Amino acid sequence: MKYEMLPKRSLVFWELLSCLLFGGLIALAWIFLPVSTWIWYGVLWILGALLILSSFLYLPLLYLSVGYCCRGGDIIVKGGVIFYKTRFLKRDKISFVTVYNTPFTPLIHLSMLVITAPGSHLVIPFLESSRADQIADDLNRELAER
Amino acid sequence: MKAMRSHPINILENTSRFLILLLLPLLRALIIGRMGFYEWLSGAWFDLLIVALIIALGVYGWYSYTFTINEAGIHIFRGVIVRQSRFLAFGNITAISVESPWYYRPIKAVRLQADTDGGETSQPDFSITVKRELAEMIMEASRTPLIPKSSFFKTYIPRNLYITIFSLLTSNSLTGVLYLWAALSQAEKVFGKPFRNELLNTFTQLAELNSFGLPPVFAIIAYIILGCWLFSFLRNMEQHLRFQTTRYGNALGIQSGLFTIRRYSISVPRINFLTLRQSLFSKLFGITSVFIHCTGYGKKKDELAVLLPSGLNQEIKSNLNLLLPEIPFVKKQIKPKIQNLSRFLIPPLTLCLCVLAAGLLALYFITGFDRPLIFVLVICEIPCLWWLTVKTFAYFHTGIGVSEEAVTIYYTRLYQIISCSIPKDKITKIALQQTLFQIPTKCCDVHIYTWAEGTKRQRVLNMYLPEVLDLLAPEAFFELEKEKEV
Repeated sequence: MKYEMLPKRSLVFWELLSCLLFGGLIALAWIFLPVSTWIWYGVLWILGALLILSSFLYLPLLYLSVGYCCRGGDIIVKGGVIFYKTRFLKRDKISFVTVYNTPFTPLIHLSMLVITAPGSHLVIPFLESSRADQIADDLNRELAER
Repeated sequence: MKAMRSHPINILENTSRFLILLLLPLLRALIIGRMGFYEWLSGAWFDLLIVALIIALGVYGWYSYTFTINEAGIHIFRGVIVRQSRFLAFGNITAISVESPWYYRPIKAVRLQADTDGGETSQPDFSITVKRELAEMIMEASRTPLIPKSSFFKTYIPRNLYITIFSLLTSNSLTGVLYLWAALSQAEKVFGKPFRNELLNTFTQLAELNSFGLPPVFAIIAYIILGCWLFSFLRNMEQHLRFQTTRYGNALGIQSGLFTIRRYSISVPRINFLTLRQSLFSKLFGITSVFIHCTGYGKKKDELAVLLPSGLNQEIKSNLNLLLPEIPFVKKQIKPKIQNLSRFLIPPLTLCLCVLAAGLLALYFITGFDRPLIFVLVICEIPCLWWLTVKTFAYFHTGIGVSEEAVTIYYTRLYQIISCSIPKDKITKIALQQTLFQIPTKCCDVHIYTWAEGTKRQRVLNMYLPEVLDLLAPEAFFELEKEKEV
């Protein structure tokens, strides 16, 4: 069974988001906490450590773990660092497929695919836009023929 | 395929709740404040800018929400910041509803909703306000795969008397309270607090004048409950007048409503189960109401998933055979044993005795309030005794029957007497539960689960375990699967 990986751009995008998020938190802590107190140092160091851990350890591992496979009978999505999950969804149970595009999609060509079935849904985040559209078209064609 | 958009009234629908909050206070300041226009403008320019921004966002939201229709389904494109592209195949749609409110008739707009078994339980998968002709086209396109060319129509139209009885049985004061409270809150926002206070004072004075010897506070409570029930009853009547159910091929069409006309198209293979509901009174008079469970029908908070509003038992049975012969009601094959009768009676008896004990203790310890306490005790005891009567009847009503097509269960829930027929392929799980006290007498509770956009569990209590195991043995379901493979 051959799993397809997410494009490298998605890792870059995650890293950017992580830097923005932790950068914002650090800036807020710098501004609002009393300067040069133990709590100020503590919060800044913790946030800095979390930024480094997420950027250099967690996100790269997450990127390497995520994979998806569209087989004849089902769709499989796997991934996770702390909790590694493999999800199977039977194609004949699919109710509808949704492709989500953000305002950044024209720049970075990444989309999110959500496949909905009764009782559950499968999410493939930050897929190549053309690949997301291709999977959605294939599944929609099957739904139309059913 | 040409992309279509919703009706322009959608702009107002998306922005109205914000506009009312901003515009009305501004206008009130201009009219009642008795200031010049330019003076008012110098103070209100920022609010007007916000209003303009809200309208602009509403227009952009309307412009960006498009959809295309082909013979296979509906392709939807929506979203302002995050754009979504979704395809709903007609074959997967369980129910389509078209609602035509009276205030939209001049502009020929209707509200269309379509739902599948997936997606959120609280919202339909596709909801839009469109022109009437377009909604008819979508409904017709979704029905076409379900209706073979040689099929014929079967229609049932209940009498207005049955609709009145149905509205009487399904009205409750709580619904009326919620609606009237919402109306009062909106009136306060529009007209201000003095208006609401004046309304409430007038009502209190009227209630005190017509108290018929009751203490004023009881009279006010009684009038509120009666008024709210009456409001709920009138609302139910309006929703279900001109009710008709039609079967065309594999599609079920339901239409109802006097001022706001509602039409539904339901895919028969997607119906999860049928329910006959009665109260003890309606059971005595031989009257039943029929409800169906299907994703997308009965989803809104004020909507009942009714198939046949009410009718005499024989009439209902013959009409069900006509409209939905695929989901028959099977006679009971197993019933609770006599040694389990006490299990039906113990909970309501316990409640009756607890209420009585609390009342007697209150009478003993609180002096000087004998009459009010006895009154409250009687009022609290009546529903408990009624529940005891229903549970006594439940022993004779409870049971399970199985046929080739369906499993029919008979049970009671609070004050309702329910018979439910579930097609076998819709049952996802059957669980048999025994407490420690049930084990010695081989008594069990049977839980039957169906699934469609959310789990639904139905419980048949106090059945005899060996009989249940014999009847619901797994072979009955495995045989059905083997037939499907062939």
